[in-house]
Amino acid sequence: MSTTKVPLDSAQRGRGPYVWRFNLMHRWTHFFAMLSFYVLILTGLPLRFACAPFAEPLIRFWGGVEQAGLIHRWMAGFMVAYTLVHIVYIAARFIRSREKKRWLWGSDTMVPHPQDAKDFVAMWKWFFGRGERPRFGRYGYLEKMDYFGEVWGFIVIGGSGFVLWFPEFFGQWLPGWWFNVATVFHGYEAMIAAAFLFTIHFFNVHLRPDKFPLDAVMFTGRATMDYMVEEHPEMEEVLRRNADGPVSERAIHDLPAPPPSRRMTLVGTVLGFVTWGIGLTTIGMILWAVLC
Amino acid sequence: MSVPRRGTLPWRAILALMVPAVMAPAELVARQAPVRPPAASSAGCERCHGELELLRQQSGNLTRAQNLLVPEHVVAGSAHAGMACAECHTGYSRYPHPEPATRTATCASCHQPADTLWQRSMHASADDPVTCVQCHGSHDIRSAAELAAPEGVHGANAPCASCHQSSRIEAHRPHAEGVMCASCHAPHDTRAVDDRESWLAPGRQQQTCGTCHDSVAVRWRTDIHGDARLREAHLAGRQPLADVIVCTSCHTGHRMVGRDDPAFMLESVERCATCHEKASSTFYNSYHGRATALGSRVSATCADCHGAHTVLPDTFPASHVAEANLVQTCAACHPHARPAFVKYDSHPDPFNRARNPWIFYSFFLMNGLLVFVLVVFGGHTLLWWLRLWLDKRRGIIHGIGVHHDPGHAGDQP
Repeated sequence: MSTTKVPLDSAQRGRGPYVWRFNLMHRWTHFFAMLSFYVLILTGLPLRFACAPFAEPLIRFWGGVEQAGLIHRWMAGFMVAYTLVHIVYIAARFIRSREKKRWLWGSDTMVPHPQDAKDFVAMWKWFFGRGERPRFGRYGYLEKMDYFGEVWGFIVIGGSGFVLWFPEFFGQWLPGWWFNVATVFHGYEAMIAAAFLFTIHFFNVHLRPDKFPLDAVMFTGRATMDYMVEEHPEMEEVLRRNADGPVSERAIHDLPAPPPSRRMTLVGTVLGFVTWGIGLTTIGMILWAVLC
Repeated sequence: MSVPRRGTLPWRAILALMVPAVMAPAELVARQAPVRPPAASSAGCERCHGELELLRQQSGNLTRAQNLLVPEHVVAGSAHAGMACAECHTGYSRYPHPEPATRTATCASCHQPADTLWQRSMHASADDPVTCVQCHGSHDIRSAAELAAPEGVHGANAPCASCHQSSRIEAHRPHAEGVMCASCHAPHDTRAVDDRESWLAPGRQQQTCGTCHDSVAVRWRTDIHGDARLREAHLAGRQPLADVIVCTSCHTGHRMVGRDDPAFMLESVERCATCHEKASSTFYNSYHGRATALGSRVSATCADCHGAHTVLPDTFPASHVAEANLVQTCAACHPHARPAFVKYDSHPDPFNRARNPWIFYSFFLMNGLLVFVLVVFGGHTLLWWLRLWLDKRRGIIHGIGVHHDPGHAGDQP
């Protein structure tokens, strides 16, 4: 058995060469989503569980309940802003794409596919030892679940939050109990989002034993060939074909990439640990509040 | 003119000591003239009781001498200025003083009404009665007007605090400044608060507090808490009230919280909650309640919607929360409130379908979604972990750069 040191970042394990998985746009959007979600959940949580023992110290940290509300709304505005940028980016990518059919229906699309449902069923079969582990493409149902889960959350939380932000404006037409309903939707959907991201998403990408403790591919943007073959085996043929392609930071998917610098690795590792640390603490706080 | 005993004995004292009457301050004699013989004087007493060294020699004890020492300026600065010593200290007119002296004059000799009231007080019936001098002092006694002056209040309260230490009002609380204990607890007829005759007893408290807070007392008469007949009619025998509601039921006594205190909002909700338990718990389901719980000073509390001293059930046309008045009530904070807007449920109860079915259904829908996500995706997570663990036990190691067949398990590049 080899005694080679295994890198913390599972995306750097195994044999190279490195390939691009996420470009700068993806990475910054994910970073913004992460940042805004953390601030939103930590400013909103004390209000949702105002009776919990952590509510008061947490609200004091933000400088009072009015200040926390202000930060919450600023962050919501920021979230809307980068989401709009993201929509424009996706639209531009699609319009400029020469392979529109592949973009929508290919094996490496982000668009949900019947194959995803089949993979989902196959995965459960594999859990019970009734089959092979499904072979995912560039984006399996796990990634699509994360992405469209956030789209759903953005619509529900954002919509209800917007109504609650301007009650007098919406109260001109909407009966007041809409604000009661919006409060229920806003709080619960936020809890569902936190529960999903901080347990299921974290386990899927970081904490499961075959990737533990960290996968920094969303921070560094690149992963080893072995990582891609293990996690996204359907892409193997494409990756091998591209192996001699150009090396560029402007990240075209599935092309060879330079290995991440030490600094990049450090940033990715620290970000990964800090975020899952805060996330698991938040889950602890929710459980504390619900159970107390 | 009914002048009491005063006047007879001092004359004798003066004659005995042969002190000229002209030594009494002229203006004091003039002021007190109608009730007091003009020649009343303490100059003879002063001769001994103004000299500490003399008293020490006579009594042979410094402490005792200090107790007997009454410098003239102490009495001259008091409410009893101009009165002769013998007017209170009867039986001491001869020297050497008879032992024990027969005292015939008491405070009650002059202050009959105060004494009558005091006789009925808890201070009089105590095992060790609290007498006039214990609160009023003796030689440095001050007038009622002087005690009631803002700068006099601390001095007036000090004797109370010497026994009622724990009842002292903390400096930051209302009534800590400028209010005498006696203003609420009665100066002479002082009684325990649970005494039916106490100034703070249910029937009388409104009047006691109303002495200063008169506008509140007037409004309070229209409040369901303040109007017993209204309350009985409203409840119609449904649930008998355990207690009559008085000012202190909400405001408390010594631990009262002022409007400018950051704790006021939360404290006032907690007071209402002592009786209105359900309304308080549903209030904390709402934004108003939660923001208040976290220290918001602008978020609405009970009194902002229901009124402070004009509380009425929503079935009364004059109620702040009657349907017809809601727009106006909400508009105090939400100036653009419309009839649709005020359909907000400030006391949402997700378990009460009859009250608001939409809250009920959305609550159960979202709980269902939460459970669904936790079961399906949480189950997905747990089973995945279980699969990897079972495989590891069978020698199949999953991992990046690890070969899957058991023969090469654990190989790293």
